Amino acid sequence: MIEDLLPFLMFALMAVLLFSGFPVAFVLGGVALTFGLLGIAFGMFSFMEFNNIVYRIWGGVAENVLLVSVPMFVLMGVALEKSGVADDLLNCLARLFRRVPGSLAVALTIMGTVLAASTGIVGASIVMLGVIGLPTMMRLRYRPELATGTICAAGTLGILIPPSIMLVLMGDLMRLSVGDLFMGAVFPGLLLASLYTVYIIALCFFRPDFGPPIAVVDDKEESVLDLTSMFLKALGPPLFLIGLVLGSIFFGWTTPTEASGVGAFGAFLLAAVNRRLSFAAVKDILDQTVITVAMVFVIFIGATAFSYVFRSLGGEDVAEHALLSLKLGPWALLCVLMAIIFLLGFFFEWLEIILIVLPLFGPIVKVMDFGGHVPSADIALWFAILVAVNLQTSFLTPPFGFALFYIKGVAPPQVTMGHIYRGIIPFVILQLIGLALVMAFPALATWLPSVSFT
Amino acid sequence: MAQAYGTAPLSGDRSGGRDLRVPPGMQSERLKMNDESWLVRTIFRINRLTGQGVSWLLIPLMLVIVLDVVGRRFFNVGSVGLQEIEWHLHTLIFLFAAAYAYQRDGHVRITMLRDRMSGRTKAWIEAAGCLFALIPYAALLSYLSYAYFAYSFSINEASEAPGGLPARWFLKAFFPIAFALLALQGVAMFLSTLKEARRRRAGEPS
Repeated sequence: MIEDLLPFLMFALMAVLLFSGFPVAFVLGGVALTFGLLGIAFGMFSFMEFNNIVYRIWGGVAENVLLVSVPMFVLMGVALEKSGVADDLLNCLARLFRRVPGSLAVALTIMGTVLAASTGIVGASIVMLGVIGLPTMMRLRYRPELATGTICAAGTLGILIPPSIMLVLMGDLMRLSVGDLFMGAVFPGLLLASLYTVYIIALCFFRPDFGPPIAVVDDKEESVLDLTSMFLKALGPPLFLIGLVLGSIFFGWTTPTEASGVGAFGAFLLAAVNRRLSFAAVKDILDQTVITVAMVFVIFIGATAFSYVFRSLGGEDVAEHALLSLKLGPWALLCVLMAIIFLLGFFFEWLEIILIVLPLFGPIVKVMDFGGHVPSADIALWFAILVAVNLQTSFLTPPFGFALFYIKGVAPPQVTMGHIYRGIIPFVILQLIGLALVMAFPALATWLPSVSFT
Repeated sequence: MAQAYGTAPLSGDRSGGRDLRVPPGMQSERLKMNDESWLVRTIFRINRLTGQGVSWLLIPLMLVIVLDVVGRRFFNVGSVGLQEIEWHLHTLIFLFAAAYAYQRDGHVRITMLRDRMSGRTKAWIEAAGCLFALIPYAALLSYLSYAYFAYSFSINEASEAPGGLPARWFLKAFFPIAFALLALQGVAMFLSTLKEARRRRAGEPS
């Protein structure tokens, strides 16, 4: 009897202990050890099986060239962030869009998209957009709700728009081509950015009190040449690097790992050209990178241990059985899975969700059949992109969305948590619309991979 | 909320003078380093040096990848050895940065309840977590991976790929060491937070 309950107890204990605030990776490891020993006591596990955890760490984490791209993409992002390319970008974009309603918010959204494709580090993007954009928006009397909502939403695109380390890990766990995932996420990411932009323009057009138009002081037209050269100078370097990294994956010239190394090298070159590459700066870049990398892989190892013991105790079958026993059609089942991920996103972040929950969903996704809506060969890819869009939302959902706390950290004191919570709601709704669109039109996710050479 | 990516990869000056990587409660920990015992200070020091040390391996890793790509695309010389060097370096980096990331509080936590806890509660939880979860877990991994290494060494395991690296056991030798360092970091954290919890119970100002 107790044997059947062990997987439930294991999952429940993990969930409870996670809220203690002790590092997730160590909670996972500790719970795995405890239930491994309990399993031994009940004759469901043997001490020898612990050895398999070490084999998996070796085979799955160490001996895995794909995962080498994680430190390199992080390094590229941190180095780019220090290279100072963002400084002129906003200025330039704001001038370009000065006649559009909500010009500054639109400029920030576009800047967030560019940063997403170059760094992919959410914390960095939000803090950077917040530091550069928020004071200006407040001065121009934007409503704090719109200002903070825009920055949070645009700043979290980095998790979705490639290169993204989340997609690398998802590809590894779901046995999908990371190149395909990268390509599949391009249009959904751009779709979300467009939804934000349309919403901002419409809102500021009908309610100028949310984002007042900028009084155009010097109305004499700047020469097109001036504007173009300014534009190229600010946007050129990051766009070149993005083009290099994504292009070489798209055309199948390089694997994601090779592209990541070259991208990191390019970011260092940019920083060097901009004269930002002092010894102290390099040390700082390496330090931040190595801590982030350790964080990702220590939790990866903890989740490996947890999943192994959980599976040995029959936990995966229990979860699969529970979901399949609902006897839902494929659409209803898909909606249930998406709802579960969305709800988990209120409390957890992507790393925990993809490492612990996604493997449970894998076998179910394999047997789903959507007839002519999605070819069965594309279902896993489509599902992965849906999960990715959904997980981006997890950064934004109050009360514990991580983006919200970062923006609070850099916001001027008159911006309250209430402003931030109210401001993010329209963007969460836009996220759900984006998710629904990708569900309704799978080609958004599956077309680009089908024509690329990955 | 959890701190995704663990770090706010930005220097303090951009985040209003506050180091976002160090949550309140842990900040005081570092300042109190001088009060710590010789053992705790030594463990912190060793793991800081190894962590910062392996961070420099990122540069050769980057250069090896670039070299590999250039060789492969432009000179048509693919090298299995170079690719193996890539994941060897990567493995060394994350193994030896694990304990360092812990002392810098880089590991993801679910902070939603933690934010409302007193410093004393946080310290008790950290001490209990180290004692019952981290130390046994890391010690077990160290023990098991030693056996894994010992077997590899006994058969003088090498890469099976043609042109691969010899002495596969060499990399495996670092696993037990790195997990032992992580367990030691747990011991240091346990001693340090236990002391803090007791001090706070004694009513000393924090």
